Amino acid sequence: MNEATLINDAPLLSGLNKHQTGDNISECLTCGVCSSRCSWYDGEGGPVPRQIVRMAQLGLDDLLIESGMLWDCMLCNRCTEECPVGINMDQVVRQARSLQAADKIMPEDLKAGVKNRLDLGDVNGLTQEEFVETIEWLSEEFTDEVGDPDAVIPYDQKGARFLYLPNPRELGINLMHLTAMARLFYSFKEPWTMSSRHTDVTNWGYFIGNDDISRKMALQIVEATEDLEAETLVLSECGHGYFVLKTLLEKLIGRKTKFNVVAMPELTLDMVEKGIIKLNPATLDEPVAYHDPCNLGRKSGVYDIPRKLLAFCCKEIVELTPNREHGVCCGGGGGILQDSSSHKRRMISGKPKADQIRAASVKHLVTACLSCDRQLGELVKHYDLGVQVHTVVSLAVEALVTN
Amino acid sequence: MSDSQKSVLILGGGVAGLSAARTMYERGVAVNLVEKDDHLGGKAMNWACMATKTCENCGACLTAELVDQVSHQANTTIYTQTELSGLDRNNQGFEAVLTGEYSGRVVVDAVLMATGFSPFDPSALKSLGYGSHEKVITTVELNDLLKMGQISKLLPEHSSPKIAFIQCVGSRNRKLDRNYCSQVCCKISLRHANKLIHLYPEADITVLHMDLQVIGKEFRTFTEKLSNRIKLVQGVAAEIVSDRQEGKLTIFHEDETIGVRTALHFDLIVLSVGLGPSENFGELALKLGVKPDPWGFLSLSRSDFPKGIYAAGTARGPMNILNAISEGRITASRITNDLNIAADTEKKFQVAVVGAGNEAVLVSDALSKEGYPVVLIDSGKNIFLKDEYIKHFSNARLVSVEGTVGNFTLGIAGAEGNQKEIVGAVVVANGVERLQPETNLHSDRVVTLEDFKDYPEGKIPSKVAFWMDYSGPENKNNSRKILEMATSLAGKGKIVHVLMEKMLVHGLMGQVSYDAARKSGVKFLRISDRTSGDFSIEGGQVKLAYEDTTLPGMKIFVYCDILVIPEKIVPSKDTSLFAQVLNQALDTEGFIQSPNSRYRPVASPRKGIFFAGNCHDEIDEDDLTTEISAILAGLGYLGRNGSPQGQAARVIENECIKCLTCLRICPHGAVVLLSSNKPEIIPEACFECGLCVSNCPAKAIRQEAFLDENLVEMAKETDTFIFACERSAFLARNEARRLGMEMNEKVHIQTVRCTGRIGIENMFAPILKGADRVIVAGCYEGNCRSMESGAFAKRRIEHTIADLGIDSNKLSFYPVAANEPDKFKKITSDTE
Ligand code: SF4
Ligand code: SF4
Ligand code: SF4
Ligand code: SF4
Ligand code: SF4
Repeated sequence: MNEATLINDAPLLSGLNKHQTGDNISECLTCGVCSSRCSWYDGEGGPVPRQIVRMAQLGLDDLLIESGMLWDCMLCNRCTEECPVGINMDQVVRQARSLQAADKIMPEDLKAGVKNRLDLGDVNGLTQEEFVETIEWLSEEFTDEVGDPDAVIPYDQKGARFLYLPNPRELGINLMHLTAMARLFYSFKEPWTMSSRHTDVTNWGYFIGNDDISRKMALQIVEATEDLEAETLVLSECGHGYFVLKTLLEKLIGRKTKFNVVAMPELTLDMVEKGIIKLNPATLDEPVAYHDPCNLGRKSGVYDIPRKLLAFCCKEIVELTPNREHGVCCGGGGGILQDSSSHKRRMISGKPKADQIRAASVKHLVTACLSCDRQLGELVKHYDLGVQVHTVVSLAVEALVTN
Repeated sequence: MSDSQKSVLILGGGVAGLSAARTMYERGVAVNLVEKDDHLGGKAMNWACMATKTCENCGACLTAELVDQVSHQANTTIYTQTELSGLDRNNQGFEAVLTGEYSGRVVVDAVLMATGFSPFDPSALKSLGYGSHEKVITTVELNDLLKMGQISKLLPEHSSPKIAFIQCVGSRNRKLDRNYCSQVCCKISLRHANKLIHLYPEADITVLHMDLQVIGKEFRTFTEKLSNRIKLVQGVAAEIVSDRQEGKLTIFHEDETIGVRTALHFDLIVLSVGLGPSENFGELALKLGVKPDPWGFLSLSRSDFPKGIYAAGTARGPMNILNAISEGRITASRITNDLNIAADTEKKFQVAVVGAGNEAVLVSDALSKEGYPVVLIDSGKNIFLKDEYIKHFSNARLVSVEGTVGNFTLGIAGAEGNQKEIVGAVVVANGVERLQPETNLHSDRVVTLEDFKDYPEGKIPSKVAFWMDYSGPENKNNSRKILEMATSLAGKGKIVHVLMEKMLVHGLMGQVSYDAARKSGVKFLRISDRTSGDFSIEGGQVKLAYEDTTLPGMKIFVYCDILVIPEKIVPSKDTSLFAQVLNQALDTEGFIQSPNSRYRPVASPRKGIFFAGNCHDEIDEDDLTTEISAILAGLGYLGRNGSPQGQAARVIENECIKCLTCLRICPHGAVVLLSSNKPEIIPEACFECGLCVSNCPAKAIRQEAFLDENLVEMAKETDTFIFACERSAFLARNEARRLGMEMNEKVHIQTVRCTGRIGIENMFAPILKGADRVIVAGCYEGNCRSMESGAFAKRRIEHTIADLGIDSNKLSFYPVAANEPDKFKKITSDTE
């Protein structure tokens, strides 16, 4: 039998108590509710949330670090949703990941990404020159495609109303997405820009639980936005990006910002509702299911905006069961997806989601996060679900009625 | 009744309201009983009987009996489907405006709120799927199904259904603004599980709980026995999934042995829902000028109620049926006191309090304060008594008790030799004994709870651990003490650990105190099996080693400077002696206890004998105060004359052959021996069970209302002739009728006070007159008001069948509780 000695002033507990964000971990009732609600269900491996909380509470940091649960947890907070005393798993797990002793279990990819982002402003290590080069080339293509010299992808334009913050994938393997966003901005008929200094909506400092790094990353963006005097920071579809840069932002950086933050679906919906753009409701004429990204839905309370936008692009939305605050994680949250060695694990953690999708019998699945999008795509392939995956904004671009 | 007769308005016709109405009637107060439903009985009326072979003392069947009594009592007006819509105070009392089936005004002197509770509606918790999965039901529905005999509809065809109970649904949950323990649901679920396993012996039952509230000795034994047949699993589930296995419901749960999440599949899941305030209770309270507590109950203290307004039962907070009944009685007698009714009609006879220790003193003081002359018979030596009016025999023992209620002669053996005292009633309050915990380790770092209480603050080291269940399963009083100490020590910056299998969160405030303790940093270590832990001394510290329920497969070590362990609690030395002298029963652990729910919490089958304190039940100081009130309410009622319905048995002097069978057999000690060696039945003590009548070999005892010839008068060539106990089987028949159940109509029913009255010749008489078969239907063993009386009838029939080789279809005994309409229907049906 394994043995462990209870430690009264273990770093994790002290850290959590010092923070006093969320609830006092000592309050755990050991009720077991969390363990019955983990998004991982009964698949092999995965976190056992009550054990995470108890190990933290009893000062068994080393045991927790060695358990493997810290980097299996998807920070989806599905367990937290019904915890009778409101213990916030996101905080517990991230605090634990940030422990010095946990350094050895941090996935190499995350380490590298964090370094890139801090050094270069982009997790993939895209330099400022490379960014400029890419954008200028893309902009030219875009102008040709639209056939309007005003149709450009601007960067570093001071005083533009919108500053668009893309997902790094939009500057790498998914350039088409960036062009699609440009098309939307073009149709909004408002001045917009990107920033060559900080190009990345993601925040891996959040994944590794290091608040200082997370803050630094957020501040890079805040400062760039303020320097360009943008009125609104527009986030690409990204669950955790939204959670950090919208939901947590002021608490994290400890001040108010001079701009407001919206996500792309919200801005697009606004434009539709104001009649500035028009979407074709028959774009998808078969039922569509919507997946709630945990960071957007459960953790930030955004459920209706993407659904409303979706309703403008398709005939019928069906709900996955369970959904909204009870929605199941796609299986890629919390930094798992960002670890390139995680495919096998993610196909286990995503099994409940796959089952849910299959049970919905739909041909199209829509979400509002590029990470979910990628994980869902892999699930579809692995479990042969016969479903096409979209993000809600890319669907809106398809639905755009140009006159 | 004179014009000056006082009257009360009782809001709510559930058990608390009914028992108050009954007490009011007994004290000569006119009753206006208002019930919004179309029948009396409240929630408890729908509760199923939990008896298996014997009664499980849930008290549910007493509801039907109370309904029957109150419906037929004088000076009582019952307004069903009616609600209070306004209340005006006038110079004497109140004028209440009623609306509904009756609309009008009634003038009363006092108002009692007995509005009951609402079960938590779990449809708010979406993930449980209540309302969308047919096979997710609540304990309320399970009760219904059991009562109506329809549970099989929800279970699969095969005989080994898998059933889960999920505890604490809508309780102990701060997020739902319900951070209190509902107190009763653990017991309810365990009784349900016990009943189901009785109905389906192959059933696979799991109870998922947070901390099973196993409080009280009797229930501990019950749970221990049951735990061999069902699975008790720590940790509840908040989600039920229906699509993982065909026809099954799935929950995900930590495997207790290896701690990984696993899927468990069930055929039926029962949500053990908590108790909340009744619907629209806030509005009603406002009308009456009372302010509920933050949860919406009326747990406030007496002085916070406006004059003339009272509350009883679950309107005051979660409690079980027996306590609600008792509260109804207590509150009713408090009202009569406040209305100055009791004082002139009650005889205040001398009362003996028997026992050593603080509880006996508290009881004596309280009785004395209420004007009862008290004799304290104290087997200890050094009791400090505040009240000099109490007659005190110290270092003395009760050695004999003769006579009946109102007139007991006690033999007391003391320092001054043997003495006699005449008293009207006896209260046993003998307390408990605390034994030094058994441990091999003697160290000044290991101290007992009692010793630690007196530790000077400066001597308390920085790391303190309590091992709550070291000396036996958690005890309510110890849990509470430890919780208080731990919280206070943590507040002073000490590092505090509490080792336990489960936390007993007693009372409405129990959860709040437990929450406060955790919040202040006390760490609760859940030992997975309390006998598996150990401690030793290492490097000047105490080293605890245990396995934590939440971390299976790990041995955990905890170091502390001092370990506090509670004493072992056992019955006081003389308790068994007193039980013997008073002719009362002991429970399995040797505490004195009334064997039957009808007399609980404080009375006994022998009228005038009461129990108080830890010598009979696991109670704390608050409970003791309640018990004393209950005893006072009971004493007030003892002053009246005659047997319950004026039909006491009577010994016909010249027919009696002085065999003294009656003296031996009377379950209530109602037979006394006159100087001439002749037995006499004291009507005040007789419960009219008729057991002596059917057992007297000379047929010298009569009960005028139940003469042999009258009993079978009506027997004709009916198919079935049934002798039905008027408190159980007969009420079940009435309930079946009320519910519109279809029944065999070719049945003739003869009611009796108790089936103990039915002798062999009575059983055969209907057959001789042409009846096809005879059924004797009475109480479950352990529920009969006259204890062994019903069992006697049962044995008599079994012997007769065996001895005479009679077809058991011709003559049979069935226990049928008042809340078993379906069972009544089945036993009387043609096919049976
Ligand atoms: S994966 Fe989600 S549900 Fe599971 S422990 Fe982590 S936060 Fe909780
Ligand atoms: S749900 Fe909350 S209180 Fe319950 S075991 Fe999990 S963390 Fe503890
Ligand atoms: S006989 Fe009455 S008290 Fe006994 S289990 Fe049945 S309902 Fe409960
Ligand atoms: S612990 Fe309390 S609230 Fe929970 S089921 Fe048991 S009695 Fe009810
Ligand atoms: S009728 Fe019952 S209670 Fe009365 S004296 Fe006879 S045996 Fe005792």
